[in-house]
Amino acid sequence: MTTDLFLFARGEREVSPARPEALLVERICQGDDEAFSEFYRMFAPMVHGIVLARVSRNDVDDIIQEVFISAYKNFDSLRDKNAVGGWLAMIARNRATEFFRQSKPTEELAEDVGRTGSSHARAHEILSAIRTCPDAYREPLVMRLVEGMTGPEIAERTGLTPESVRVNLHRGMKLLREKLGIGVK
Amino acid sequence: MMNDEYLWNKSGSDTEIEELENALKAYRYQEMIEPCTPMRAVSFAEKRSSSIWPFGFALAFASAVVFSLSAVWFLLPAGAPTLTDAAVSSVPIQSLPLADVPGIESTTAIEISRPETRREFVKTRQAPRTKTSPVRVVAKTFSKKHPQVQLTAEEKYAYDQLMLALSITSSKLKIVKDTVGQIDKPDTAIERYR
Repeated sequence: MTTDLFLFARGEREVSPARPEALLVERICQGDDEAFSEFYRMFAPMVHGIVLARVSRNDVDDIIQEVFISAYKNFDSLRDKNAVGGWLAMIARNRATEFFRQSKPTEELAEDVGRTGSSHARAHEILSAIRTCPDAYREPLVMRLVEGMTGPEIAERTGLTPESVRVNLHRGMKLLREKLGIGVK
Repeated sequence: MMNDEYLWNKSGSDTEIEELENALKAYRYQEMIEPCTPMRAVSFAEKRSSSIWPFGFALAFASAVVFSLSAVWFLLPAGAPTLTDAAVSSVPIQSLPLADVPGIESTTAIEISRPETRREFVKTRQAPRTKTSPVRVVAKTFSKKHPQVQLTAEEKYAYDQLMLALSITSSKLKIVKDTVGQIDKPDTAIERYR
C-alpha cells in the first residue's frame, strides 16, 4: 500500500490495461451502436439480477431499459472506464430503490397461484426468501441461482473482489437454507 | 453438507443448489431488444421544431402585405393622376336616363362629372352637357331580379382598380405559399439538417 502510494505520487505507477468493457464504452462514446448492443448483452443479466432482487418480476424489464438509457446518457461522466460494471450496478440499485419507494406496496403472486406444490409456486417461495436476506447477500444469490452466473463472473461484472463475492455467496446460501428449511433435520 | 466449490464455480455437484437453480430458472433473464439509443431519435425533434415557425412567419408576412395594399388603396387621393385617367377622361360624358338602368325607380337622369384637374392631362372632344336636376338614388330599390347592373364610368374605374389590387395580392400570396411549401418539404428539411 505504501509502495503504491509512493509510486503513484511519483507518477511511476503502471496504468491498468483497458478491460474489454472499457473498450466497449470507448466505442459507444464515439457513436458506435453495435458496441452498445454488445455492452447490453454483456451486462443485461447482471442488471436483471440486481433489479429482480428488489422489485417484482413484472416491473423488471422496464427498469432494465431505464438503467441502460440512463447509462448511455452519462457515459461521458464516467472517469474510470474499467469500473463501468460497478457504476452500472449502482445505477441499477438506485433505479430499483427509487421505483420501490414510488410504487404502492403489492404482493406478487405466482402464475399458478391456485395450485400448491407446483414448480412456479416453489420458485416464488424461494425468490421471496432471497428478497428477505440483507442487500449484500441477495444480489449474489440471485445472480448465482437465477441468472446462472458463476462466482468469478459475478465479481468481474459487478467490480467487486472475488473474495467478497465468495464470502457473501457462502453466507447468503447458508441463510437461505435456514429460511427454506433445507438440510434441517 | 453444502458444496462450496459448486456454489462458487459450478465444479462438482450439489443436489440442493441444483434443485434451487432448476426451480428459479423460470425467472432467468431472457434476451430482449436493447433500448433505442437517444441519438437515433434526434432527427424527429429537429423536424418538428422547424415546421411551425416558418409557417407562422409566412402567415404574418401575408397578412402584412394584404393590410398594406388595402391601406394604399384607401389612402390614395381621389384626384391624383393615374395611368387610367386617360382612359376615364376619354369616355364622353353623357347623361343616362335612370329609366334605362334596371332596378332604379326614378325618372331623372344621372349626371357624371369629372374633377377639373383631369382636364389638364387629356384633352378630348366632349359632348355638350345637359343640365339636369340632382339625382336621388334609393339603394333599396335594387332588386334581386336584376343582378347584372350596367356600370357607370366611375364605377367601372373603381372596379378595375379593385381587380388590379386583388391580382397583386393574389400573386404575393402565391409567392408566400410557394416559399412555405418549399420550407415544409421533408427532403429539404433533412438536407438542411445534414
